[in-house]
Amino acid sequence: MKLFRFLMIACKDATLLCSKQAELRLSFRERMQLKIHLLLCKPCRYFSKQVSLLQQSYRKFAEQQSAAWSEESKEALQKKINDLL
Amino acid sequence: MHELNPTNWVRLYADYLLRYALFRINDTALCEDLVQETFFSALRAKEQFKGNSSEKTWLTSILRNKIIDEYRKKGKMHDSLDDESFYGQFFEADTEYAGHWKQPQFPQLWDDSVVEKMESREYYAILHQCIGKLPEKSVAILQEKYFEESDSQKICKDFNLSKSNYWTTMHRINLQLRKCIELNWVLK
Repeated sequence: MKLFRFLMIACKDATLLCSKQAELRLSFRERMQLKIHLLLCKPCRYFSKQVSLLQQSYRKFAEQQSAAWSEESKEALQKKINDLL
Repeated sequence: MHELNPTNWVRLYADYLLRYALFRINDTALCEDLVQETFFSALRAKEQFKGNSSEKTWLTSILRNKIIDEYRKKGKMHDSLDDESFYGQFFEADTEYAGHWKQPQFPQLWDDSVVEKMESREYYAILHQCIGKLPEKSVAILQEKYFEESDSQKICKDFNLSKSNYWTTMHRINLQLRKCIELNWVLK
């Protein structure tokens, strides 16, 4: 029973550990808690998988964000700056 | 020591600054205006540039303040919810199921066909909208992590966060964005 209490956590804490895992290494106890929770809980399994997909996509999103100045508007802007110098 | 060279600004920094602004504000015309304003403010404040940081860092900090002003105008600076009400949206509070997902909030299966399209233009457009709904501070942290690729130590220092505040903020972001993507993209 003690062991049970030591290792069982609710979804709120399990999802918190999923997010924490992406930022730093979990302790042994936290790793066990998360592993057991994910074995038993389908919604949290989905959450865990989806959050890692999202994290990959934040990175790609930042990379592929492309700027859309036209050459003319850039030239015009530089000219305005030069005029103010 | 760094020096200012305004005659090269557009060539060197216009694209970077525009991408920086677009990450936070999903409105190209507004972002172009903000970048333009950044250059003009920088010219006016030229004398205050001490050369301790690079030109790029200095211009970025001016732009950042302009972006923050935009968020302030929209009243989206902070997450207005305390932890209890924030988590209460997703998880049961007082019942014997305290801490369990509320039933309507259960994460749903994202099928393979959906996951495969997570690199499509449509997906990124929805992600952009979802990021736009976050409060200013969350977006700023997300940007520092993924756009500027800073490590967690630097982020904690810049935002004056403890380690645990930092990953709970990341957790809030994950909960919000996951839900927003599911509603607006997966289940559409």
